[in-house]
Amino acid sequence: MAVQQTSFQKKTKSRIPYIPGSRPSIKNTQLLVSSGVPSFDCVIGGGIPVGTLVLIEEDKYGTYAKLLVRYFLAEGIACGHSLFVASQDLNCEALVRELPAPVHHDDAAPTSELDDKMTIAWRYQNMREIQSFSSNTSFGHHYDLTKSVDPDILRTIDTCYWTGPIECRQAEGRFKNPAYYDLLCTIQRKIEEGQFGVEASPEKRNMLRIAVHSLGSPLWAEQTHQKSDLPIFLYCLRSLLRSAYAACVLTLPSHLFQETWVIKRCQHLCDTAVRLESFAGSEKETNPVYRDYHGLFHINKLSAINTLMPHVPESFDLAFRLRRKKFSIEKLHLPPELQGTTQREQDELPSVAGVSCGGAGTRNLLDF
Amino acid sequence: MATSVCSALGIDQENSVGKLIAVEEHHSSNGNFVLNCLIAEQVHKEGSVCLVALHNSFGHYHNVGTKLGYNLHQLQEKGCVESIEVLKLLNESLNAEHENRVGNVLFGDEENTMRNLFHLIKGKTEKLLQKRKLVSLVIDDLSNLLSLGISVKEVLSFLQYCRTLLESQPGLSLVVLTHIAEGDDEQQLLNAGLCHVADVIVTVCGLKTGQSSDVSGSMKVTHRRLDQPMIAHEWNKQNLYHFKLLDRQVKVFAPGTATCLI
Repeated sequence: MAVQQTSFQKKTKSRIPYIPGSRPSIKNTQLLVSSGVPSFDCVIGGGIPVGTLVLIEEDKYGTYAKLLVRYFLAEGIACGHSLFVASQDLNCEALVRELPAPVHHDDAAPTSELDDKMTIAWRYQNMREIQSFSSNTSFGHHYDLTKSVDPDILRTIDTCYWTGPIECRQAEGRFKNPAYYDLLCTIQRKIEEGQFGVEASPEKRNMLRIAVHSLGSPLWAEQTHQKSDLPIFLYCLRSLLRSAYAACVLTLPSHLFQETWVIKRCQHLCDTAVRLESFAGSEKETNPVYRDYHGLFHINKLSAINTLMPHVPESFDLAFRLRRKKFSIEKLHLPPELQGTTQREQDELPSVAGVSCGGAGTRNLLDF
Repeated sequence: MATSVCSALGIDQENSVGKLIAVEEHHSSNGNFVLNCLIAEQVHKEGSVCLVALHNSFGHYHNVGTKLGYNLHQLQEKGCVESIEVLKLLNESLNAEHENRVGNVLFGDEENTMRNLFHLIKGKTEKLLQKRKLVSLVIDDLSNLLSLGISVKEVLSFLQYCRTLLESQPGLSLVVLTHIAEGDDEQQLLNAGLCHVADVIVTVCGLKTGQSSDVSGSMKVTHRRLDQPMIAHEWNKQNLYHFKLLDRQVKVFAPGTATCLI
């Protein structure tokens, strides 16, 4: 009699290798790396799954998208990962040199929160705090934007830059634009040389962080009358990443694209797609509703790799705020009271003062 | 488990052999669960599966499968599951030297690429049919071929070739998923071509009003061949469903009857 085979298998030692700066997801065994912004990790389901692409659609001036790229790379330096930086708009070396340094808990200013503990209205006392993530020392850090990273540490990090195609490179196959093809080949060579592939067996397993800034911007010589190379590039990149210990963050100036179908295809081919909407230069900048925030954060797609159920964030109404030592993505809250509300002014009118509660200036027996 | 989706599709009542099930995945939704449930049903029926993975890796299907109660790696070792991972082929073709680029996924000409892919599929399904009677050919995201730079005409003729297998290889059924975004003419053309020849169309959309934590999206099932007596009563049925993806199962319910509402 043949032994009936069941799906039960003895759980042996975990096959997931330990790489500094990574942790397995709570829901499935998918390995995650931090994006460098703890609240961003929290929103997308714990972190960026290894082997996936994150698409960030840039805000109008690209400031905050660039910032997210910097955080992503800075986190790589804090964890000792290898970096790959590609951009045709920026000087990549300068970008890496000016990366922010992590905030250590000991040099953070001592807060005297014990003395001036704020008393808040009783009905808000039991509400949860807005920030629901816990900062772990090895996964996700906060960065101080005024300090740049120590050059000595930077020297120990394996970094690779790509600033444009080599002159002699010709587009091949279905690629029309040599830039995309060249970048793809460079990334592939990097994965091979650094032994980041799943099949490779290096002595010490490390992670590759790939950041592509302003993909498809006018400097990439994207010709609109031709069929865009972006989808084929992303599809090939997807196939490269799926079989490597690497994570990729791309920023795309989507507001510069006329054809929306290209953007939609890009979103489809990436695993996580988010969009930043900065208030800078828009009429929302002066709107008192958005006083506490610098922009809105839209989620277009969340990764559903190795799982049936994609992560569902607590809220889809998200906004971001930038402070010197912290970039945070929060649930959008309206301020408690807007200035210039007309309701309170009515209280001062004698005609309605009869039932007002503590209306200023009017003396009434019912006041309390 | 997968039964709720299969009963919504009517797969449990009628035979899917010789049929083409089209899954139309609209932008901002994920139709992958339909494929997973159909694979689960096929495994349950002791049939075999030929998976053409264009969007996700085989590992993804295996991992989801373990949640739904089947082990694809084990079945693959037994020879009941075959897979063609285009993502891996693409990786290899990037590595390939200039001389070997003729029939390559990325560098070969369109016609050759599609022909090679078809022959690969044909060989695998024939091999599976020798072992088991029922074989399901699952193509995950046909529209990704468009992203590879292959023209709509070539992709549609590839689909037509796959359909000829339904005739030449009895016991085969076909499941094809395609993504569709508004404003993308190529994808819409491909989708129209696919739906025209499909026997059952499953349309997976996100909610019009935005995202919700209680309902993952809506699913519409259309039976196009109403001549069979088994499904003749289907035309009168409410075929718009809402679904909620959970860790180990998919809940399918009538619109407005989500558990949080009742």
